[in-house]
Amino acid sequence: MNEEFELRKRISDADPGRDAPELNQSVVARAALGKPGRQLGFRGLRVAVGSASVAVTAIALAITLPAVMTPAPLFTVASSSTGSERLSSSADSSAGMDESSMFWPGLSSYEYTPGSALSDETGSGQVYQGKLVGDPLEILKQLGVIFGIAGEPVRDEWSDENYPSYSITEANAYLNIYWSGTGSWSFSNWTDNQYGCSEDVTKKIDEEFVYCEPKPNPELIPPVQQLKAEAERLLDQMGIDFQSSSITISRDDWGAYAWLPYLTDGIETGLQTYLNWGMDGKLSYFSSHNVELVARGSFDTVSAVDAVSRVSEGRWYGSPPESFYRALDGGPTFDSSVSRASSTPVEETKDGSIDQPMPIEDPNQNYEPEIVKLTVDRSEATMLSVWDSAGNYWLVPGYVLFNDQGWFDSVISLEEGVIELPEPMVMLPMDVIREDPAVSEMVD
Amino acid sequence: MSPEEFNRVFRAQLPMISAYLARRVPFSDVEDLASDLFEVAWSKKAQIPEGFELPWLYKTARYLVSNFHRKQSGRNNVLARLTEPVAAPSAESLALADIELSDAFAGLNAAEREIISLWALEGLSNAEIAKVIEVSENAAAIKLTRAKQKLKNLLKPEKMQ
Repeated sequence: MNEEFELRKRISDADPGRDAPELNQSVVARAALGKPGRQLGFRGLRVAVGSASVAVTAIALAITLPAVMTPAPLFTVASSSTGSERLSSSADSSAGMDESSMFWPGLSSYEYTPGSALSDETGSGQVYQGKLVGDPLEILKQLGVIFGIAGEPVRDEWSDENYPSYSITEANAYLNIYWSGTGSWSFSNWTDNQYGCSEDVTKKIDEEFVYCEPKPNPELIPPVQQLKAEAERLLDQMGIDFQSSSITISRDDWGAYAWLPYLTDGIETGLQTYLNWGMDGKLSYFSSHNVELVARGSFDTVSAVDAVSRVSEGRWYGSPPESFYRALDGGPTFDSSVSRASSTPVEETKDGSIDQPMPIEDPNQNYEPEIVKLTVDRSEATMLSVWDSAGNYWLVPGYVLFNDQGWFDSVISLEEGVIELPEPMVMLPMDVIREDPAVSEMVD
Repeated sequence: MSPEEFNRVFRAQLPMISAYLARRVPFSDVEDLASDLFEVAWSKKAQIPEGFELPWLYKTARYLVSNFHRKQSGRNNVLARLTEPVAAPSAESLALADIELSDAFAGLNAAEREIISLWALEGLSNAEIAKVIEVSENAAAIKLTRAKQKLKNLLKPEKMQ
């Protein structure tokens, strides 16, 4: 039993797809016969009933309320998680819950208090809306010239009305663009040589699985300055706005990668441009965006003190520039919950092996979360990336709030009413969701 | 490929596709996405390399899952900083079985979680992973090596110092 095997087994043991539903075999037959496969399930029913209710309510309000009484919000923020990722699987029980509910997998609840150093001054800030510029097929063709791909762009088979995407595919290269949100695009190239396996780590770790760690050829990877020069040349060719000093290069024996913040009109967004060089030292990946910002006006903002109360609500979340994540110890993380997790010390077992899964002793036990009190002792005003419910990109004023535990949260600072928020998340203790709700509860 | 032949070849992939989707979306959405997936497969059946049906299905499912999450979350969080489609199981999805692993998993970015999952949960080889995430086999092997190393470090940071 080696470390590779233990790691793989441990992940397999925690497989969230272990209890995957058994699909009706007609799913395949229906596809071949061209018959629509979708059926109206519980969720669909709930959405349908909910939509009908909302529609009726909306009509009633439209009749009874003069439009001038409530200025329309700039946009409706897309529903999202509360700073930790939305649960996306192991959801057989939670799937039946309301959209704004989440079960509580963690053991802690966080209570935030503003520290004395936080400002109580209000202010104002500009709101920008992302605007896609140009024609996606033309952009792909232009990028194809730069990357040496000659094929014709086509609409992807997985493209849909809300998220159209296009690509050029060659035997050893791929170029694609999503024409929604930020117009993100990427180039992949796999012309690098076949790799050899390092003998010392090539092991048959179980009867059916052989693990091969690539044997590095570090002499093929150009030095950092050369990589940076190549990155700058490509960025110039593509007309991507950048500052040389903001390009970060990381190089190891297997290749190198570079990243830099995506700027529009000199404004740093939460987006990134990313480059990767493979084992042969050649460019193997490049991704960036194609969005411009349109100013939508200046709006009042709440103070840092008032913003603290928004952290626990979750729905005020916006993505800060990458530089905030990189400033944390341990490099970039993807949300504050990651920092929470990584700040928890991990106990090592006596024999030094990977810890065994923590057993859940009584599945019917009520778990009381531990209350963790946090003081926000510093704030920094910045612009936050937000997506609206139609998939459009926005850049709005916000705060990054640093707490006394060494991590941070980021919240939108616009005053109430400027934008429309999704319904608040409701955290439910584990035992509440174990029993499937009755149908009448689900459609209410 | 006739409907009968399509049915025979792809019906065998149903359990794997169900598990793949269930790791990444709520169970209640698995059948809908599977239906979409096999409709795409039928329309593109001539382009699917023989013997690589499953990696092709995973590759296409990856885009469908990615679009699904975009619709669900508005890309307001993790996906906001990603430009390529990523369909990774969440760290929380492992929490019920193994809280420490879930915590360590949360320290990986979505692309790293995806490649680890394709290796450990879908049980794919480097060559198959490369087809799914559309990079070279070489690049897939390197990405996997880095991700595994990072996960090991997150699981036992004291030993790596």
